[in-house]
Amino acid sequence: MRLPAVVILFPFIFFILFSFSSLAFGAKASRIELLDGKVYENVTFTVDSEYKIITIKVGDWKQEVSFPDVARIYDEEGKDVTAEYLGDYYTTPQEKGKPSLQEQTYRRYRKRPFNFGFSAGTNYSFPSGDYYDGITSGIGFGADVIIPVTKNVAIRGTISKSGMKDDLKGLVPGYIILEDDLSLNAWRYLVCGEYYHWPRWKTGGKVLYYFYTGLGAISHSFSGTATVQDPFSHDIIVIYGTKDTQTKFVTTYGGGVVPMISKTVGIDIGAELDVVFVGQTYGYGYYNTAGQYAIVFDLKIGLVALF
Amino acid sequence: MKKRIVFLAVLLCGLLILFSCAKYKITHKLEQPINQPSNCSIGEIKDELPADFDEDDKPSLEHIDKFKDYLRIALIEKGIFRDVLLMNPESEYQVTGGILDFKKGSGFVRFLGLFGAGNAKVTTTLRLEDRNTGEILFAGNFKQEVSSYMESGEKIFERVAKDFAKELSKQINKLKRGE
Repeated sequence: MRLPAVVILFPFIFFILFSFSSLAFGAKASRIELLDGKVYENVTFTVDSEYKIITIKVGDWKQEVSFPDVARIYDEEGKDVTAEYLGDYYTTPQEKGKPSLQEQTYRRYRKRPFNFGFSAGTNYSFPSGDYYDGITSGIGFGADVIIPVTKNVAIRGTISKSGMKDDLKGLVPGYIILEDDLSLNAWRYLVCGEYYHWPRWKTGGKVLYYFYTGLGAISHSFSGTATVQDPFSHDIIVIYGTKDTQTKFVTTYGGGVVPMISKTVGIDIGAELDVVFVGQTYGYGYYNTAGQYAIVFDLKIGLVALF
Repeated sequence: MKKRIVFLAVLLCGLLILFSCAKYKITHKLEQPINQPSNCSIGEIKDELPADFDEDDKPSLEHIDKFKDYLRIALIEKGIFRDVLLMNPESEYQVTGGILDFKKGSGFVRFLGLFGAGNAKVTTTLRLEDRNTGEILFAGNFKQEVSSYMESGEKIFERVAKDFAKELSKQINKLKRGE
C-alpha cells in the first residue's frame, strides 16, 4: 500500500513546528545580566515563552533562568534587546511608576463590585391584553434586593405594586360616573437572575448596566364599588368589584442603567416586561373572554444603594 | 522498508506527543540532599506577572491562599518533610514562588465547548530554599491548564503543587540512589 508522503513526513513536520512554536531561534548575546547580580558574557540563548524561561548556553554548559530573574539582555552590538525577547516581563514596575515586585502583595480585593444592593422607586405600568381590558396604566412603586453571586451575575428579588388601575370610563363608555370607589391592586413578587456590568468599578466607573429575567407571581385584587348613570334612561347602575384575588404566574424580562451619583448610590432607570399567564376565560374587563397571556410593561425610576 | 519507515514515524509521533505533555521545566536541579526529617514552610507567592497585566485578571488572595494550601498538602503527601506549615519561621526549608501567567477561565464557557476559550491556566515559578543560607536548592517553572467544565478552575493550582512535589521527590530519590 502506498501512503501519501505527508503521512510519513508528518512527525518530522510536527517536530519542527513544535520545537519552534514557543522558542526563539538561538540568539547571541554579548551580555546577560540577572537580578541576583550574575552576569554571562558572549553566550547564546533561547527563549521559551510557554514556560517563561530563557536558556543560556556556552558550549555544553547551559543555565535556565525564569523571566522575572532576568535584568537585561544585550545583543552582539551591545544594544538592550530585553524588551524584544521578554516583553513586559523585563520592565520592573518601578520604571512604570508602580511598586516593585518585592513590594507588591496580593491584596484581598473585592471579588465583586458590591456585596448587597437595595433599590426602591416608582414605576409606571402599561397593562395590555384581554385580561386587562378596562384596566388602564398608572403609577406604582416597588423595591428590589440584589445579591451578587459573581462580578457579573446576581440574584434579584422584587416586590412591586403595579400602577395599573380600573378604567371605569372604558368599562362603561358614555355613562355618567357618579361615584368611583373601585380599587385594583396588582402586586408582583419576582425572583430573577441578573447579568450586570460595571465597567471600571475598581477605578471609579460611573455607570452600571443590568439585564434580568425571572419568574414569579402577580396577585390582583379588585374591590369596592362604583355608581354610574345611563345618560339617556337615567338609570343608576352600581358596579360591584368582587372582593376577589386572582394570582397568576408571570415571567419577567427587564433591564436598566444606573448612573452612580456617589460611591454607593445611583439612579436606577429601567424598564420591565411581564408576561402574565392568564389561563382562564374570564378577565376583569368588559369582555368575558380573555386571551391566554397578558402583558404588563413598566418604566421605572428610583434610587439604588450598593454596599 | 516502507513499512518500517511508517512504523518509526508513528512511534516518533507518539513519543513527541507524550513529551509535549510535560508540564514543567526545572531551572535548578537538586544538587545536595535534603536533611530528613525536617520542616518546611510555604512562604510568599509573589505577583510576577508582566507589568501590563490587567489588575482585574490577576489571581486574588484567595487563589494564592489555596495554592499555598495545595503545596502544603502535596509536600506532606509525598513524605518529603516531617511537617509543612504556612509561614513557619523555625522551618529549615521554605517554598516560595511567583505567578508568571494566569487566566481564571470560566466553567460555563468550558461547558459551551468554545475551543478552549474558558480554560483556566497558570504558569508559576516555584523554589525550594534553605532558610539558613537563602540558597535556592531546587526551582522550576510549572504550568497547568483546566479544560473540562466538570473541573473547577482551582485545579490548576492543585496540579502545579502536585507536579512540584512529585519532581522534588524524584530528585531526592535520585540523589539517594547516587545518580
